[in-house]
Amino acid sequence: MNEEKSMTIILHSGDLDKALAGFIVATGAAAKGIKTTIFFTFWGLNIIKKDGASKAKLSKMNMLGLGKMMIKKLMKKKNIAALEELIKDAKDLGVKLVACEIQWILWIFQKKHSYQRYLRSVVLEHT
Amino acid sequence: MENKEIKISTIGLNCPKPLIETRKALNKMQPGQILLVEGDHKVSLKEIPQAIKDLGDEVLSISEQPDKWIIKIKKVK
Repeated sequence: MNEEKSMTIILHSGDLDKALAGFIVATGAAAKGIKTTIFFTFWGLNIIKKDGASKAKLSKMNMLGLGKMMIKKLMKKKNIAALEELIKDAKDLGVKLVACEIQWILWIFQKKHSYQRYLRSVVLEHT
Repeated sequence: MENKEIKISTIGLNCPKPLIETRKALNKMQPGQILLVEGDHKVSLKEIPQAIKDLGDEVLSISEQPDKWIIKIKKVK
């Protein structure tokens, strides 16, 4: 075997389509033996939050969830893996999921997110 | 060491699932064991043997049928 290759993907968007693209590349690379890491920052963190993957919206043509519903239906019909499934596969294949700590600290000041609860939900979900 | 063949089916699955399922199955196996992967996704037929070789495992045979393909893999390490 030749020298070990590694790759890091920076996922900084919580949109369903963008996260899906990131996870497809990551799982594909991991299956090919590349040491893969996904670094989550900004809204990308929402993806690895508890139930975050199922709540992700489309970046375009979301149409209050209608667009997302349609694309999910189409993906199921065409047998394309859903985001939740890809996250599970990524973990099974040993993809490292790294969450940006600085981003959490920034979010303390946002009243909407309770920092402690938020941190716990991300950590519990992925250990 | 078991020499039993393991068979997985990826029929109907789309990219990148066939490769992921193959890798997941190989990770659970012992060296020397044989894995049979069947599927019908055309691109994966080219992609899987390439990925298997990259990781040092051995592709024993590839058989193509009109509606599906079967790849026989031997886990080396």
